[in-house]
Amino acid sequence: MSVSRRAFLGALLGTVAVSGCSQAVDRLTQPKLPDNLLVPSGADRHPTAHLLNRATYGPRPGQVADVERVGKERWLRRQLDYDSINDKEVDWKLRRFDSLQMRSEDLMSFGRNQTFIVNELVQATILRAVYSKRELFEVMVGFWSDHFSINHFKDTDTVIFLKTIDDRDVIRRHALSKFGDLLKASAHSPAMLHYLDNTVNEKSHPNENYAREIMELHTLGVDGGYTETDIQEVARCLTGWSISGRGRFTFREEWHDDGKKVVLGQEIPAGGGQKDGDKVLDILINHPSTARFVSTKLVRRFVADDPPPNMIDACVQTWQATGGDIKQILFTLFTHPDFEQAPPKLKRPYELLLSILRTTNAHYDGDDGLIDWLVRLGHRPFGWVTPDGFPDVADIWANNLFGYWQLERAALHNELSGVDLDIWDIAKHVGVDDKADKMIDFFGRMFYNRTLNPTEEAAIKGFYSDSGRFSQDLSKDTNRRRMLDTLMILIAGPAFQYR
Amino acid sequence: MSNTLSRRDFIRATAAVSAYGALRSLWPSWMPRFAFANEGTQGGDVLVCIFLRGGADALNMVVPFGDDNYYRARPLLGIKPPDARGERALELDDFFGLNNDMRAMQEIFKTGHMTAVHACGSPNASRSHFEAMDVIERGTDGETGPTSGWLGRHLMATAQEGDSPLRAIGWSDKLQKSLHGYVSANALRSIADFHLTGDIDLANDMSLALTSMYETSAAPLGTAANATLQALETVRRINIDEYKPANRAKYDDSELGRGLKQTAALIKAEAGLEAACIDHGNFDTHVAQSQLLPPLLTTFAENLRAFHDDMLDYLDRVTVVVMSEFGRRVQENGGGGTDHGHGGVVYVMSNHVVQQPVVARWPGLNADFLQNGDLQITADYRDVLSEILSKRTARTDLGLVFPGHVYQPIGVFG
Repeated sequence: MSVSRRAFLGALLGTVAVSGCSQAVDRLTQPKLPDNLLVPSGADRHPTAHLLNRATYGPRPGQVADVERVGKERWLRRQLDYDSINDKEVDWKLRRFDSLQMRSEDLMSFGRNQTFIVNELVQATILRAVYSKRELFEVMVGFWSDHFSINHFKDTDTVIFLKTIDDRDVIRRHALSKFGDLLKASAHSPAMLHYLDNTVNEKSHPNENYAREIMELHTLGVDGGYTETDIQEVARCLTGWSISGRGRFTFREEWHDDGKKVVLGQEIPAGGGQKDGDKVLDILINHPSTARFVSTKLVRRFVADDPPPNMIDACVQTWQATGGDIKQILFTLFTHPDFEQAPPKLKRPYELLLSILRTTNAHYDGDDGLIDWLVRLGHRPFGWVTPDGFPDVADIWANNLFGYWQLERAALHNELSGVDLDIWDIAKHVGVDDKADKMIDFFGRMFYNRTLNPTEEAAIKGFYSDSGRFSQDLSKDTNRRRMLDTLMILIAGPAFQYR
Repeated sequence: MSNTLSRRDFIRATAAVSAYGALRSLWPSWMPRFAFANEGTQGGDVLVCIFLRGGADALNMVVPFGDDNYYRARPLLGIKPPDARGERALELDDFFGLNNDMRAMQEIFKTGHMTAVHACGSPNASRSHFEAMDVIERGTDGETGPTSGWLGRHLMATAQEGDSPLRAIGWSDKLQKSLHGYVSANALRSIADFHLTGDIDLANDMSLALTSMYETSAAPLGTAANATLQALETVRRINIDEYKPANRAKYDDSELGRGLKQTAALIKAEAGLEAACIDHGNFDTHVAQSQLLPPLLTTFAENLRAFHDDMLDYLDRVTVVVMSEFGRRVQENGGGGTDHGHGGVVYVMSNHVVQQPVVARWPGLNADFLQNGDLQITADYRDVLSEILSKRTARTDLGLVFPGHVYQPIGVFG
C-alpha cells in the first residue's frame, strides 16, 4: 500500500468507520494486486514459497517475489518482531465485533446459547488469518489454540463465552513470548478452568481432569514421566483454582487441600495455599519433557507429520538455551538446514479455506456463512470436542477430500457466503484473460508456486479443450465457463492441497 | 451410458500421460464388486442407528400386558392385551405385545430378525431431552466423559487408509452427535448431494481429469482421491430417484423413509458405507398421545419393515439399532399424554439376533419398583451397543467407545 493511500485511508477512517460504514472500510482495506504481479516459474517447489506456505496461511499474490527480494531470514525476523508490524487495517475490520473487547461479566450476561458470541470469535479469527500482516503470529495463534484447545460446545454454560477472553488475554498475548508465560496465563484462564473442570476441583471432591491434561496435553506429554499419583497430587495442588461469579479467576481458599504434596519427586510443603499451583506450573515449565513434547508438536506443525528427530533436538536445544523463548525456537526451526527438504504437509480444512482466500486475493467481509463450511469440513476453529486440539496429521484429514473439492469449486464459482472471489480480475490484471493456455500457465504457477509438470499440464489442458470442443479464445462465454471449471481441477489438484 | 463418447475422447487425449491405468477404476464394467471392502480386516456389519427423538413411549410400543400395574397406571392410554376385543396389542410373547400401530413390524419379529431390549436406557437420571440425548449420543453416563460421540469414536478407532468417503453418513442437515469425533462423517440430506457438479458430462470429465492429477499422488492423499473418485462414480450410478427396492418394499417420504431408502441404496451399491444415522419423531407426547403417537409409530414400523424386506439378502451384514433418549412416565397424565420418564426400549434388527422377541429383566411396574414413577433400567444401553460392536463389527476398542463402562453382554445375539 502506498503512503498516499494510507494517509488518505487514515483520514477517511476517522469519519467513515466511526459513523458505522464498515462496508466502506472493508473495501478500502482490501489489499490491491501488485502492479507487477510475479509468480514463481521453476520446475520445483520454490524455497521462499515453501517458507510462506508453512509460516503463513499461504502466500498472497506477489508475496513470494516480495519476500524473495527482502530475503527469507529478514522477513522471518520481522515476522517474529510482530509488535512492530502495523496492523491497523485489520483492527478496523474487527471493530464491528463488539464481543472481542468485552469483560467476562458482560459476555456472560447475554445468557445461554448466544451463537453470535462464539461466531464472532471465529469470524474475527478468519479475518485476522486472511488479512493480518502479522502472518506468522496468526499461525502461532492457531497453533496454541489447538495446543490449549477449548471447545466452544462443551456445554450450554455461559462460561464458555470466556473463550473470547482466553483468545485475547492468553493465546494472543503470549503466542510469541515464553512458553512459561503462556502456560501460566492459560492456567489462570476462566474458560480453560471451566473447560477442564478445575472450577469444581475442591478438597472434598477432587476433580483430576485439568491436572491430567495439563501434564498429558499441555506440557509433559503422555510419556513424559508422570504417574497416576502425580496426577492426584497436581489435582490437590490445584484445588480451589476456580472462577468467580463474574467469570474471573479466583482462588477459593476454603476448597484448597493444604496438606503436603509430592509432584514429580519434588516436595511441596503444607500450607502453601494458592502458591502450590504456581509451584506445579514452575515444575512443569522447567521439566525437560515439556521442551521435547512441545518442540515435537511444533516440528510436526511446520515440517512433517513424522517430525524429524534432528529438528526436534535443535528446537529443544534452543528451548533450553533461551528458557522456552518461542520466537527463538521458531527461528531455529525455520532456518534449520533441513527445513527446505520438509515433505508435503496436507492442509487441514481451515488452512485450505484460508489459502484459497489469500492466494486469490479474495475479499472476505467477515460474514458468518463460512462457519457452516468449516463445520461441514470438521474444522471449525474452537470446535474440536476433545482437549487434544485438532489433529495435525494427514491420515486424519485426507478422507475429507470430497469436501476439499466442494469448497474449492464453490470458491472459484464465487459461491462462498461473504466472500468475493473474482479470478477474472486477476487474469485481466496480468493480461492472461485472452488465451486459455496463457491463463492455465499463469494460474498454475500462482496456485502451485512452480510451473505445471507434464502430467498436470496434459490433464488440465486436456480437460479444458475436451478434444478441441473449447477453443483458446476466452472472449466467448462458453469458453470462460469452461475455464472456471478448468481452474477448479487445477486448485483441486494434489499440489494445492499441500502446504 | 450417454457420456461414453466424451470419456473415450478424453482417454485418447490424455493417453500420452498414461492415465489409462488409473482410469480403469472409473470404468463401470471394471468396477470391482467390493469397491471398499478391505480384505480381512473390515468386513463388519453396516450399522444403521435410528434415534426416536423426544422420548418415545416404550410402554405403549412394546406393551407389558402381563403386568396389571400397567393398566392401573394407564386407564385411558393403556393398550389392551392380545386377547381383548377391538384395538389391542399383537402378541410377541406371553408377557409383551406390540402396539397395533406397529403391526408392520410384527413380521420382522416373527422371522426372528428383531429383538427388543426392554427396561433399557441410560443410568443417567436426566429427564431433560437435551441432556439425555447428549449423554446417550456421547456414550457416557453423565455430564463428564468425552464430548465426541460413541459412534464417531468407534469409526475413528477403526479407520483405515482407503476408507470410503461415504463410510459414515448422518441423513440430516446437521451431523448427529453420535457421529462427532470422526472428521470424515458426512451430513447429507440426499446422496444426490454427493457430486462435484449436477452436470453429468461435466462431472464425468472432472473425475477423469482429477484421476490423472492424483495418479502418482502418495498416500494418504492419493488413496483418498482414489476412494473419493470411486464413491462419486458409485453414487452417480445409483440414481436414487429411480431406485427400486426389492421385494416390493415401500418407503414413504418421511425423514426416516428417505434415510433408510438411501442407506439401502448405498449398501447395495457397495459404496463403503459402515454407519448411518437417521432421526425420527417428535415423540414428546405430553398431551393427546392417542392422536399424536399412532402416525409416528406407523411411519416407524412401516419404514423399518420396508428396509427389512428391501435388505433381506443383505441382513447378514446389516445391524439396525433403534433408541430414544428415555421412555415416558408410567402413570399417564391428566392431559391424555405422558411425561418424561426413564426406562425405554432398544430395538435391534439383524439376521443374528437371539430368537426371542423381547429381552428383558422386567423390574415390574409396581410402585415399589418404580424410580420416581418411572420404569427402572435393568439394561444399560451401552451394553446393547457394546454387544453389537463386539459381535458384529470386526474390531473396535470398547474402552475408547464407552470409557469407564464395564461391558456386560445382555444376550442380544444368540
